Amino acid sequence: MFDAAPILEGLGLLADWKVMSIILLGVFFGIITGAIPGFSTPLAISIMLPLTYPMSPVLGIAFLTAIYAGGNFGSSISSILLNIPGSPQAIVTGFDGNPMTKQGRASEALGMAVASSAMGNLLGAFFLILVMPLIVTVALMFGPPELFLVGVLGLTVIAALHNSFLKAIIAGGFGVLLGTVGMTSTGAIRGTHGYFELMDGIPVIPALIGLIGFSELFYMLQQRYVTGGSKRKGESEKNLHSLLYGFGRVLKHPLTVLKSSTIGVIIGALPGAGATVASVVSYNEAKRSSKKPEGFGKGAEEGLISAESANNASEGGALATMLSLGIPGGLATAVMVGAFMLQGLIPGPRLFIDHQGLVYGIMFAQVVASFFLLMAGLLVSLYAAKVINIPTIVLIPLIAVFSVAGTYAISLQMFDVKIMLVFAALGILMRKYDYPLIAVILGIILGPILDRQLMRTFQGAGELSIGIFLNRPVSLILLCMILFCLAPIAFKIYRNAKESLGYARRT
Amino acid sequence: MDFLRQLGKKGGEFIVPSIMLAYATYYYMEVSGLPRREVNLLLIQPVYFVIVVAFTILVAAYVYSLLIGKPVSASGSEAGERKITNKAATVSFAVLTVAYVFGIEWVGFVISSWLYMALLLIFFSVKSWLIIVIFPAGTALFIHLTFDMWLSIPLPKGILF
Repeated sequence: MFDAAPILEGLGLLADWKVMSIILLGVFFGIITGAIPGFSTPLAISIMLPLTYPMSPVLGIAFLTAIYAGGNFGSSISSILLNIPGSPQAIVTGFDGNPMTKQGRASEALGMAVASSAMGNLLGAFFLILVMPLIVTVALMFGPPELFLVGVLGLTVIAALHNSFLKAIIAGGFGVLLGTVGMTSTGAIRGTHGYFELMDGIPVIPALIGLIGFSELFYMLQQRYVTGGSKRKGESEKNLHSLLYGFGRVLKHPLTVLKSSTIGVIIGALPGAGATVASVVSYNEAKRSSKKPEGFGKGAEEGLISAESANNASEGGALATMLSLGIPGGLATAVMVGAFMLQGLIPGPRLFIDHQGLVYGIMFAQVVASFFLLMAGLLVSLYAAKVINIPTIVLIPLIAVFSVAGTYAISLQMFDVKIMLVFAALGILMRKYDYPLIAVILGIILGPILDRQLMRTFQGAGELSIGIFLNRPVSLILLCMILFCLAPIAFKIYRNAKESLGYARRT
Repeated sequence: MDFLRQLGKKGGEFIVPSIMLAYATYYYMEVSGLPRREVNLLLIQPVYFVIVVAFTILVAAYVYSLLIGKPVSASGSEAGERKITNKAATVSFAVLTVAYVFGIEWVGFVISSWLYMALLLIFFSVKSWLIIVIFPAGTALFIHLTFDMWLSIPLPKGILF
C-alpha cells in the first residue's frame, strides 16, 4: 500500500532549516491573526499567498498549511477569553471556554485548547497520511441528499442550545432564513433589498462579530474586568501552571479527542461542510454521549476538547479532499489550490501520481506544524491570558477598533462593518431577553448548505420525497443519527409539558 | 386585570421573536412572488412554518403559565434577562460607535480610530491623560502599520488619514 521511496523523499524535503522556520513562522502568524476578530484563516492565508510565489513548492505550501493550523487555534483565544470568536469555527469553543474564563480558569481553558488543537491537528495529519484514499472514498459517497442531512445534523445542536427549545428554534430558523439570502443557483435573487453586496449572502464573519462580539462589549462594559468585578490574582507562574494543568486534563479524555478528531476529519473532507460544522457535530455528539450533559455550556472540559479537536482535525480531511480530488472543501483550501497553481501544480489524482514525494512532504509538514502549534500556542496563551487583567474600560475601545478593522479587511467594504452594527443591535436585544445568539449564527452558516443541497437533491430527482433519503444507505445512517440526537430533546419537551400539566392540575 | 398587568410587564420578551417572525413573514412573501416559487421556497417554506408554530406555542405557553399562575418567564430559562446598569457609558459607547463607523470613510481610519478611542476613554472616566492620548494613537498607528504597510490591506483613507 505504501511505497517507502516517496515517503523518504517527503521526509527529506522537510529536513531543511528553512522549511522548519517557515512552518514555525506560519503557526505564529496564524495564531496571532486568528485571535483578531474578523481576521479569518482564509484571509490570513490569502494575504500570505503572494509571498509563496518565489518559494519552493514544499516551502510555500507548508507555510500556508501552518497558517491554517495556527489560525484554527488562534481564533479560539478570543473566544475563550472574551467570548468573541476570531472565526466561525471557534464559536463552539466559546460555549464552554468562556464560562471557564468567568470561573477564573482562563489559563486552564487555553491550555486545554492548545492541547486539543495540537492533538486534533496531529490526528488529522495521521488520518491524512494513513487513510487518505479511504477518506476520499467515503467523501465521494456523500451526494446532495447526504450533505443536506449533514447540515440538518448540525442544526440539531440548535435545539439543545438553550433551556427554552422554542426560543432556540425561532432563533435558529431566523438564522437559516438569513442564510438563504442572496442569489441562488437558479438565478433568483432573494432578500437583498437592492444591495449588491448581499448577492453572495449575508457575510458570516461580520454577522458573527456583531452578534456575538460587539454585543458582548455592551455587557462587558457593566463590569470592571472580563471575569467580573475584581482583578484576577495570579502572575505568570500561576498562568503557566494552569496552562500545563489544562494541557494535562486533555490527556484524561483520550476517547473524546479521538472521537472528535475522527468526526472532524470526515466532515472536513466533505466539500462545503468545513471546520464549523465539524465542531458543532462533534460537540453535539460529546454532549449526547457524556455522563454529565448538564455541565455542557457551563465550562465542561469535554465540550471544549471536542470542539477544538474537531475543528483542527478537519484540516486533515479538507486537505485530503483537496490534494486527492482537487476539490476545495472551503475558502482556506480554495486559496491553497491557488498556491499550488502558482507553483505550476494542479491538485487532484495526478498530483499524487506525479509528485508523491511533495504530497508526503506536505503531509509530514502537518505533523511538524502540530508540534510547533503546541509550543507556539502555549507561549502565546501565556501572554494572552493576561488580557483578562486589563480593565474593561481600556479593553473595550481596543477590541472595538480591532473588530472594525478586521471586519473591513474581509472584503474591503464599509458595508460589512454596517452589517456588523445591525447584528450588534440584534445581539444586544437577544442577550437582554436571553435568546441563543449561537442559534442565529449556526443558522446563517448552515442555511446556504441546506438550501444548496436541497435544491440539488430536488433538481437531481425531479421531486422531493422522503424516499430519496430512505433509499440511500449513507442517508439512512444520517437520518438515524439525527433521530438519535433529537430523541433526548423530545423526551425533555415531553417531561416539561407533563410537569406543566401536573402543576395546572394541582393549582 | 393582574393577568394583563403581568403580560404588559413581561411583554418585552416577545420583542425578539416578533422581529424574527416579522422578517420571516416578509421574506417568505417576497420569495413567494419570485418565478419558480416551488424551487425557491424548498427550504424557506418549512423553516417559515416552523418559526410560526414555535412563536405561537411560545406565546400560548406564556399565556397559559400566567393563567395557571406558574412563576416562569417566557423563556423558561434559568438565566433570565441581562441587565445594563452603566447607562451613561453604554449610551455613549453606542452613539460613538455609530458615529465612528459612519465617519471612517470621511475622516479616514487612523484619525477616526484615534478620536473614537480617546473619546470612549474619556466617557468611560479614564483619568490618566497619558492613556487617553498615547494608547489610542499607538493602537491606530499599530493597525495602520500592520494592515496598510505590512499586510497590504488598504484601510479607508478619507479626507485626512
